[in-house]
Amino acid sequence: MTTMDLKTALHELALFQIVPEEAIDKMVQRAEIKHLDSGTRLFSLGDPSDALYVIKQGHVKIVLDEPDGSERILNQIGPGIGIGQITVISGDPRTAGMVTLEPTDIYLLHREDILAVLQGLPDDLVPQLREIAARLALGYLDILKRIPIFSTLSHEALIEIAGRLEPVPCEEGETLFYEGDEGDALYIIEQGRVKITKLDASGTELVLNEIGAGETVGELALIDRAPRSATVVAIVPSRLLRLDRDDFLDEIRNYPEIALDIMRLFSQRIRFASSYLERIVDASREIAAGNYEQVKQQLAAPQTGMDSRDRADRQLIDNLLTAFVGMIEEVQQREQELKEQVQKLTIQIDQARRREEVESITNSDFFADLKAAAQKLREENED
Amino acid sequence: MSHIISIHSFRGGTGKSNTTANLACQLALKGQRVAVVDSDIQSPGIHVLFGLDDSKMGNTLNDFLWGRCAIEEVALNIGEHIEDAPGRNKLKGADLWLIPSSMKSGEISRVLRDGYDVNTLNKGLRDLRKSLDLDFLFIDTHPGLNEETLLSLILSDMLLIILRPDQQDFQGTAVTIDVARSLDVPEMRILVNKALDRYDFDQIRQDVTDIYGVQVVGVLPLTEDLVDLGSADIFSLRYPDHQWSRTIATIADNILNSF
Repeated sequence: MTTMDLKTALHELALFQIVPEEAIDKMVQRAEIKHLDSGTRLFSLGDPSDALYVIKQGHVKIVLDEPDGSERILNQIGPGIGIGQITVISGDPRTAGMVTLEPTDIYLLHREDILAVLQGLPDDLVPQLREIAARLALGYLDILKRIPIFSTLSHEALIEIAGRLEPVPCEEGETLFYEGDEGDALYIIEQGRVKITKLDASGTELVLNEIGAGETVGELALIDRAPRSATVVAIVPSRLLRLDRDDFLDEIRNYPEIALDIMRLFSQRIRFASSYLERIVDASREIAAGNYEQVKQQLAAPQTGMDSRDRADRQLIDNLLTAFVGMIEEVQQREQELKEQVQKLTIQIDQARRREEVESITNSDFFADLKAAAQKLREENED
Repeated sequence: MSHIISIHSFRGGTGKSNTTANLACQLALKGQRVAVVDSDIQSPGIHVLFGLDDSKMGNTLNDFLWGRCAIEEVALNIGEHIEDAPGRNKLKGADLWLIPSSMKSGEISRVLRDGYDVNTLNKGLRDLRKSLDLDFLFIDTHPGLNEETLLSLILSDMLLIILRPDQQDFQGTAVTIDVARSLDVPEMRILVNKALDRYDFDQIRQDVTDIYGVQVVGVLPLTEDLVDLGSADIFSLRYPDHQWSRTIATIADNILNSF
């Protein structure tokens, strides 16, 4: 790993997204390299945060020391990854320890050097960086990045949105919102699990779906003001993050590219859905033609050329395909039953054709001769 | 007094020859004196059901029609020619004769080319009925309404039409019935063969009777058992308790009681 790679690694740190390039360059110049033997402990939980580390080569483990003296490994980290970004600006105590897993070369950036570089900038970025670090500590940025409609947003926009997230704890069985309520916010499930339900015509609860951590409910509510189309109930104690629509629309005003990203995402979804609609139309034609097995094979095959990373879309499409295959099987079965049950035979005779064919026989000379002969023969046989 | 019964179907594959052979055997077992004329000169086949092949056949209907022999020299006594098949063995001593058609392709094509004289056929059948003292004479006809079939019709006391329950057979049967009525065939019966089990047989019988105004003597099921046996034996003799065989027996009774 070269110093250029160190620069790239620092650039990619969530913490440094808003730090200008020349400041990163200065940090790279001040970085030290340490050669560590396998099993070297660099710091422990509770140590003051005095440096930011980036692994040059080798691997380390991030550990928590349990009260009984054993250690719990939180993570294993390799080259190019930064360690300590959450606490390096504040200097707060370390949230975990770090131990090398093999002989490892590691870049070390002293906290004082980082702060010195930042203080040399025209704008004071430190308060913002503290805010980012706090959000990182909560894991909000990571959560947001994994949500399709936010996945392409810039780091700055993500930090802004992360700042608007409001934690909502939910007891088991607690209703988040009811079908028909005003759709005023998006919810992200940070932890736990919820069910999405509707009441059918007879008032029986129908569970449409169950979703868990990292998934969202009500994202369309961010755009339109339509009432909730279903009820959402926590099925285990859960923690959700609420993004208010008005806050979100404010962010769109601050970061118009969010609107572009959202449009891009929705147009992707429309294309994705259209291509599936085409498949479904094709499949319907085949079903009408009775080519059931062919359709089942086609639907089972993964669609090429289209790859939506959107899990919700995938889920919907999967549901549709499952419903379709189920439908085919039911139609097939009913057809089979019908075949077995048909009791009544319909007899249809084309009377015009019947007359025509009879006349073509009876109007011939042969037939006239035959009739005459018949009469004579019968008289003879009577004797 | 003997009776001529023509068995006909508008299309091939209705099981006409098989039904003819089984009905003739049933009547013969009841002590009737029966002859079967294979007038399907274009594609003869009923002899196989009686365990006969070309080598065992002497004179044929063709020889008689061309004046080569008397009709009595064509009639083959089945009771004397039975092979070792469990069903056919029951025919030992029965008064049952077969008047086969020639299997020789040259003779088949000659009939197709020249036809034959209705008066010759009529005279032959009359002589046969007299000399063998027949009660029943079955004519196994060629499918469709060609001239030879029409000749058979004017000689018949009864026309038994065999059809399968499908649209083409329904349509063709309508034409056959109209033509037969025009020729004043005295009696007509319909036999529905190869009906699938899923149909309501009583309903079929009622519907077919209503649409043609002709008595339906039976509705026979399509049975794999019959297909399995093929032409190896006479089914109703071999398996008398089978549903198909019992229906054949009732049809034989119907024919017997019609005269």
